[in-house]
Amino acid sequence: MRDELLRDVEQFLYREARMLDERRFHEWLELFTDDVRYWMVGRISRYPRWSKAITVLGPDRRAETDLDLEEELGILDETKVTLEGRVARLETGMAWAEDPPSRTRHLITNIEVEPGETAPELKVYSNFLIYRTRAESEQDFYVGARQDLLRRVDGAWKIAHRKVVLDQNVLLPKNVSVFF
Amino acid sequence: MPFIKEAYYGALEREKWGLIPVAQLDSYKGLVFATFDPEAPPLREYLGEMTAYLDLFFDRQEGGIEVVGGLHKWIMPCNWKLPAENFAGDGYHVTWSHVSAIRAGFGGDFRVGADHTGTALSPGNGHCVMTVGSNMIADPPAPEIQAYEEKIWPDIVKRLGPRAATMKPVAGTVFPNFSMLKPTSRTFRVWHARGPEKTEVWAWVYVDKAAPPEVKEANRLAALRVFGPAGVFEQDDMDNWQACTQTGRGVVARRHPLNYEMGLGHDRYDDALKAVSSEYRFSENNHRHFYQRWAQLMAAEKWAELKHA
Repeated sequence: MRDELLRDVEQFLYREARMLDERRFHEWLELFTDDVRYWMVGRISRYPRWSKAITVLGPDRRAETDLDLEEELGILDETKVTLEGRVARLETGMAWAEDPPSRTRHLITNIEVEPGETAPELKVYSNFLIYRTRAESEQDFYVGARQDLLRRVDGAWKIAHRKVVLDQNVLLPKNVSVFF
Repeated sequence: MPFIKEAYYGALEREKWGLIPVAQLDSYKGLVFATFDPEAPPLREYLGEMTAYLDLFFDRQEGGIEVVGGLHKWIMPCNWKLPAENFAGDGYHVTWSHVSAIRAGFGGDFRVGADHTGTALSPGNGHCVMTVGSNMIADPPAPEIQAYEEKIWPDIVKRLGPRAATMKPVAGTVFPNFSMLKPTSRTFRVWHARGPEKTEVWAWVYVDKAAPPEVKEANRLAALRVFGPAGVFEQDDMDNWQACTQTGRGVVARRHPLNYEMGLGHDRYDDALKAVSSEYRFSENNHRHFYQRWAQLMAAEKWAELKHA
């Protein structure tokens, strides 16, 4: 992987983070392909198969591994159209969860770039820490990982698939009203 | 237990110190309930007439329901009674609290239509159900779901009897903290009180077991996009419940009563519905029954002192 390409992808993700923090949501929507799947899963606390902690559970009740990541239900599972709907909702002036709006700071780290399955696509891994503060003194931390598929469209990167993994089992923020 | 003789000098009577068993454990249509109180009424008696309404959520087709794998768990900075009363009877908040999501296309058309048929029903013991008229759509707006619902409607009426033909339940609360919803999202949840300003929600998404796979998938998507921590309806609810809790505990707010008079005097026992029913869809009939039951239980020392309300 060439250095220049890595820098290009990093800058793309940092620009995206700043767009979100500056609430430039229409510009942010332009970063996605029309066929994007924007998907967020949570994590469930489970005993690994080899755990002796709960002896009353049979082995069939335990996860195959200790890193069984994905809930089937998901927290977000969006298309371009529903993402646009979420942005349109914020602009009605009556979306109470974001009125007054959250103040966010997206910190993006641990960026890794791998070739995608087809030539103009890249697999990009990143971690995030999003600080959200709102109203007087509310504050939340959203911490997790993203796996993106970036596609080159008309000379620019677009996000064709984004999977977000939030690490908390019981979510401590009261809601998930910000973008990732 | 390691070193039990040495550490306890052989004096520990282990059979006295096991897990505390629940006093009663029973289930209704796959929903499992338990209580540590041996004097509490048995489950069927506790649920009473509410069972007929639970059937309209959870037993509409052969096989009942199944849950989508996984669940949503999150903590809300509010008193548990606010979400419980919201699902119990607050049809009134929808067109104000959720107008942004409705305008952005996430609602169904039943919420904003001109038809105001429907009732707030209290079938007893603090349980509550909200309904809309049987001619209304009370399902998520996905075309797969609506086609399916239209197809199975005659079967539901045949299976559950004439009462099922007269109205469609949309939401409800099994007293005190188990709530369910049918339109926009098919979800049921438990509101765990974790302290005066802390409620931990465990929310599942359910579908008819007999529904075809594309209807199940449409239900999953409709459910998580509208309810749950990121749901475009529910994220606003959480903010409102938090604000209600914070405002309600203020020194001045505590000097004043809260107004719960909507529809007072315009409710009556309906023989066909076997519940105290409001005349108009929007009413605090259910709120009043919910809190009256709560007040009775808080004041009573024993179940024997309580009448079934």
